[in-house]
Order: sequence, then C-alpha cells, then structure tokens
Amino acid sequence: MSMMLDRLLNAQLACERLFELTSLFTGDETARTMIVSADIMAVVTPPFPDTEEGRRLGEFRAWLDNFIEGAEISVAENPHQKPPDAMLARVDPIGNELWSIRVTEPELTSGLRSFGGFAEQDKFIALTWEYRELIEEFNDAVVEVIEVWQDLFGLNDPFKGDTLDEYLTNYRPV
Amino acid sequence: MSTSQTTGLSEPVETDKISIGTLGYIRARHRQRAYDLVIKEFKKSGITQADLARRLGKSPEVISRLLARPTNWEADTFSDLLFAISGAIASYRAEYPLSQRIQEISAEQIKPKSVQILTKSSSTPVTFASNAFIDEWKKQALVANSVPIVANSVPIAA
Repeated sequence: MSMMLDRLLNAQLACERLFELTSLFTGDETARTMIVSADIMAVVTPPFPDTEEGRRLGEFRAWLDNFIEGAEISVAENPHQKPPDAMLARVDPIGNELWSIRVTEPELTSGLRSFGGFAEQDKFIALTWEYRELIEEFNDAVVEVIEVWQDLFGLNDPFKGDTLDEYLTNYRPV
Repeated sequence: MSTSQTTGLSEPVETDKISIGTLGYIRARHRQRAYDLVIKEFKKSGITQADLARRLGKSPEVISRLLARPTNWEADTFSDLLFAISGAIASYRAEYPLSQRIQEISAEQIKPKSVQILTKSSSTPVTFASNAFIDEWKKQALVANSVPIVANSVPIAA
C-alpha cells in the first residue's frame, strides 16, 4: 500500500468515515482485512430484520465475514466474461482497480453487489452497495464508487497488482 | 453474572422468533464452511472434476456447478461429494460462539475468598483473605527471594 493511501485510510478510520469490520464470530482473529463505509456498516450490523431484506443483508454480512476469516473466494478478472459463480469480479474499466463483491444468495433473488478496491493484499475497502435488481446501469454504480473513493482518498488509486496472487490468498480464478 | 452483547447477534431465547436475517447469516456461514471443507479435500486429493463425476455417476457439468461456489447443497450431496473425493465423512461438533463472546466472568467469581501461605516464620500454612495474601506475599518477597505457596496444605510453588 502506498504511504499516502495508508495515511488517508488511517485518517478516515480515525474519524469514522470508514470502519474495520471484525467477524461476528471470530472477532479480531482475522486472516484478511475488510474496511467498510458507514453506509455498509449500517446495514451489515445486526440485528438483521425479520424480512427478506434482512435475510439478504445477513447474507451480505456473512460474505464479508467469510472474507475476513480467509475463506476461499472465486475471482473473475475479466469483467466481460465473468461466470455467474464468481464471488468477486473486476469492474470495467479494469484500470480503475475497482472490484464488485457479488452476493448471489439467497436463491431466487438477484442478490446484491458491493463495490470497492484493495488497499493491499487481503485488505479490501468496500464503499458502496446496492440490491442487484436496483442497479439499472452498472456504469452508474461504478461512477458512484469512483466518486466515493476520490472523496476519501483523492487521486490515490486502489492497490494495483500484476497477478491475482498479489491481491488475494486462498482464491480460485474463474 | 454480568453480560454484555458484543456481536449484535443473540442466541435463541425461549420461544422468541429468530429473525430471518439472522438465519440468513448463519446459513451463509454454514454453506461456506461446508464448501471450504469439500474444496480443501478436493485439492488435496489430486483427482479431477471428471474423475469425481465418474465416481458419482454424474455429468462433469453437474460436478462443475456443485464445486463452483458455496450453494445450498442438500445434506446428501455434501455427504456424497466428501466421500467420493477422498473417502472422508464430515466430523460434527456443536459450538456456541455467541455464548462464549457475551459472557463476562466477574472478578468475584474467579477471586478466591482465601489462600494459604507457608511463611518463613511458621511451619504450618497460614490462611489469609485473598487481598491480605497479596500484601503478605509482597512483604515476604522482600525478606526472601522465594516464598513457598501451598493449596490445601500441598506446596504448589516455591
């Protein structure tokens, strides 16, 4: 991670515009790090509502906790040829180094998507989210996350690696 | 006992309905754990998806779909995959992560009411209230480099 991005990240954590998520079950014992925006923190913090919406948010939180705990993640690098089973996918244009968290459960729902970028290997910053069926134009969602990123980190881009190994451990390319 | 809820998730209580959101979270965790176990065995085994398909009498497409990501496998599917990959069966153990995290043991529960100490000046153990023990320990430590401690008349430290 660049020193400037690291410094800005710490500043945003200190002023609680960003939060480091800890697993609901394992606490501080983490294999990876997940930083989330206040918007995301608000919806993935239990108690989860007793509704279908609550169920989807519970799934979202489980995705994030599974990431933190080091679970295997299926990753698609090509935004135009990602299989439906990809759990994390690059977002077009790939030069922006932004990624989409793909929560596709529960079955019979279109799931939800969360967008962000890596700060370093196994350290992800998730900034925006939306139910998939409400994303009419994917590009608009990408523009939104770019704006949020720049608001928080200025012109400091997300981490850029040469291979997937530099982004993640315990992943499976799909 | 004082309790503080640190996770925001609660254990089931009496007949209170569990929110579908909580169940969604727990289900997703279980799916991922089952998936991670199967994938770990699959990688370790060195067999191919085609091999596994033949062992289970299924098409490669079905196996590919099953191994693609954590999904809501039936218990039989989970069992079949695990056994066919490596002859393994799942080992089950109930855990109570919410209980462990919300219980705080008060100091009164872990502090003994009294302890026995063998002093330099006495051959028989002397009983002290636990607070007084600390004071006596400090006092004795100043006199000698080591002070033997006994519990129920048995030396446990020197």
